[in-house]
Amino acid sequence: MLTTPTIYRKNSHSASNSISSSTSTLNKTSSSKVKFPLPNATKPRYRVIQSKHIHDLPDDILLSIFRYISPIDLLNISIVCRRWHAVSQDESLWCRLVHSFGLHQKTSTIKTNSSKEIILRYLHDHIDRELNKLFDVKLDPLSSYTGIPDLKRTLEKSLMYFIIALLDEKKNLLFSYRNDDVKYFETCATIRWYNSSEWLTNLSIVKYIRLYAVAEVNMDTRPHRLRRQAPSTVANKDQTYLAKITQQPYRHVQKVRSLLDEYEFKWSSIIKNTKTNENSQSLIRVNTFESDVLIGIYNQDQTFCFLAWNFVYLKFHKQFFNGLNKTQLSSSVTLSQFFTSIAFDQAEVSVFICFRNMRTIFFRHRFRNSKLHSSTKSIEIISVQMTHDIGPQIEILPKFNWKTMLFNGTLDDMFILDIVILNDLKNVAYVATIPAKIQQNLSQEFILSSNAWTINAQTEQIKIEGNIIKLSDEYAALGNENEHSLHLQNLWCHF
Amino acid sequence: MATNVEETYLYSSPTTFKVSSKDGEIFDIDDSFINQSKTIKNMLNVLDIADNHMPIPLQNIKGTMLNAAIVFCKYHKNDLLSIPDDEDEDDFERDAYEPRRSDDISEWDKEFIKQFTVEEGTLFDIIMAANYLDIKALLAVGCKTIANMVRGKNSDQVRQMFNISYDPPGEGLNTPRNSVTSKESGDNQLLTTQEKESRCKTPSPELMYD
Repeated sequence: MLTTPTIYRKNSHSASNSISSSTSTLNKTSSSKVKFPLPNATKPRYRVIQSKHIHDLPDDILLSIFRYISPIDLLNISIVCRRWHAVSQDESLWCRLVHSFGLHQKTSTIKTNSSKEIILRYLHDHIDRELNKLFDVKLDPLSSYTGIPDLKRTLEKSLMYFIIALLDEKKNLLFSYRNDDVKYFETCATIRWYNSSEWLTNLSIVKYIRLYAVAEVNMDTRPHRLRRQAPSTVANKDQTYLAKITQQPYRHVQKVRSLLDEYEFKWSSIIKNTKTNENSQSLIRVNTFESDVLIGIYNQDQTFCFLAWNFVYLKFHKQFFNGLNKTQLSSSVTLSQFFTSIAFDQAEVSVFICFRNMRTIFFRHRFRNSKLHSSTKSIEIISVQMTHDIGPQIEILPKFNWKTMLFNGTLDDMFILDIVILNDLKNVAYVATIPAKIQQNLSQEFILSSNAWTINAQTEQIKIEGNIIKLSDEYAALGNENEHSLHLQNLWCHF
Repeated sequence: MATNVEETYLYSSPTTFKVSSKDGEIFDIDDSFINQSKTIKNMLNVLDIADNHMPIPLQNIKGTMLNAAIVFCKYHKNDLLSIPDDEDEDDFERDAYEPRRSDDISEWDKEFIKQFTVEEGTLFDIIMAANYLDIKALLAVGCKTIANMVRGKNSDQVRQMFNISYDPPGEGLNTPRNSVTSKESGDNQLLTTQEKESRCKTPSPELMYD
């Protein structure tokens, strides 16, 4: 234990009431003459009045303290120090917990070595259940065309927040920071961290960057066995109080942390990249890093930088985004695998095409009566009416400035094409999100459209080519040039 | 049980006794204290003490702590011993696996225990005193208080609270760590702990769900 001069003086002063007057005067004179710390001695050799430390408690008292502690806290404090760890491994503690949770009856089927393992498994299952309850989002595939749940509602309900962690090459933590805010857009949500001048001091060491989500889970560790009625011999004045609390369940909130994503992070290359863009007049330079992280720095003094993570791109953690996983049935399957696995031939399906960037949906339409041809592995999208779901006009695309929440990247960076296929039961059968490139078509091939945009979306498996045609303020279409009427647009996916 | 009656007879003739603390203070104790402190009870059984005796020396206890223990016992003199005794395995009446609660400290006890703090170490003093005097109720209140302090905190916060030096596994005691981590506070500490925990193979609830 550290004995600092202040503690020394405080203790000697407070104890001087009980100590005889001679020693107190001695203390006064010595403390007035001698200043602590002494110039030659780094530490006092001995303590005049020894104040107790928690390590002074004997093991059996420590054990009896631990008996009052719930299993989660017990696991937490077992890593406080070596001694506490040793004491907290005591079998009697865990055995008591096993019995109080009523788990000893179930262990006949499961062979486990220690009571601690039983408790660990019980807690694990319990937290799993609670998390599933949190994220049990019922999705309406028709209203949320991409299968993305109402992020705002989900996240606010679960009291979730995010932590960014910068790690060095040995994965030691350099810096961690809680998110400043989460912005919800039409199609996605972004998590942002501002005011991070501290980041810039250690950037050369940063090697990995991690995103964690932290959710608070209510744990009710009330055992199956209810506590017996408090004996009537307890003093009367406390009896009502005791009766009140013994009927309440033993609740506490446990924070569950989940690693969502990890990147290898090369800050030097990012700085280099941002400097090449210096001729841009914006105050903030925005860089995409991987596909779902944006990094921005102030041009002027680099005191302000931020990171933004896009939810839509995130490889969602299984437990945290259970609701999402339920709907994205084929998220890991490529479109060609999807075709071969499901016999959709000749079946009429609905296809949602959503054309958006991180913030705004520009074009979204549900194509009913679309046809899947598994023989040629293509989707034929036939639309008869296009009367709804038209987003803002493309040519007045707002620039995405991160302070004013406006888009500031290039068009090539930011466009996303969602393809959602509903089967005949109107369940989401397939979801694909493809980053799309857009070039303005200057050839003016479309008669009714003065501004046609060529879309060129490509991943390893899927390639989509087509044109976005803005027909009027209310009508838009996506398709190839063809001889059909303008109300009938075709989109072909090639593999 | 016949011995108990005899014991009661032995020390009940003088109603008060004198005890002296480590720092020389002398206190009068009465039945309320003797009944609750097993140590004193046993001591009086063994020693044959007449009136006007020398104060019984209690060399392990400071005067302030002894005074507090006497106050505590005076208040609780009407309570019967309802604190379950772990060593007492013969008691079949008691539900042996009844969960221990730390939130059932009565209001008076809460106020009482507030005068002791971790910073000055007096909380540990009173627990040690209760342990030495073998006053079950006081010991329970002290243990529950510490249990309540620990509740819901991560290991770093606990270390900070009790001024425990961090002793990373696999390394020497008080190995200097990265100075950057000391800047963090509040929620950010969660991660620092995680990193430490990930190096330490001890299972922790937060690690389990990665």
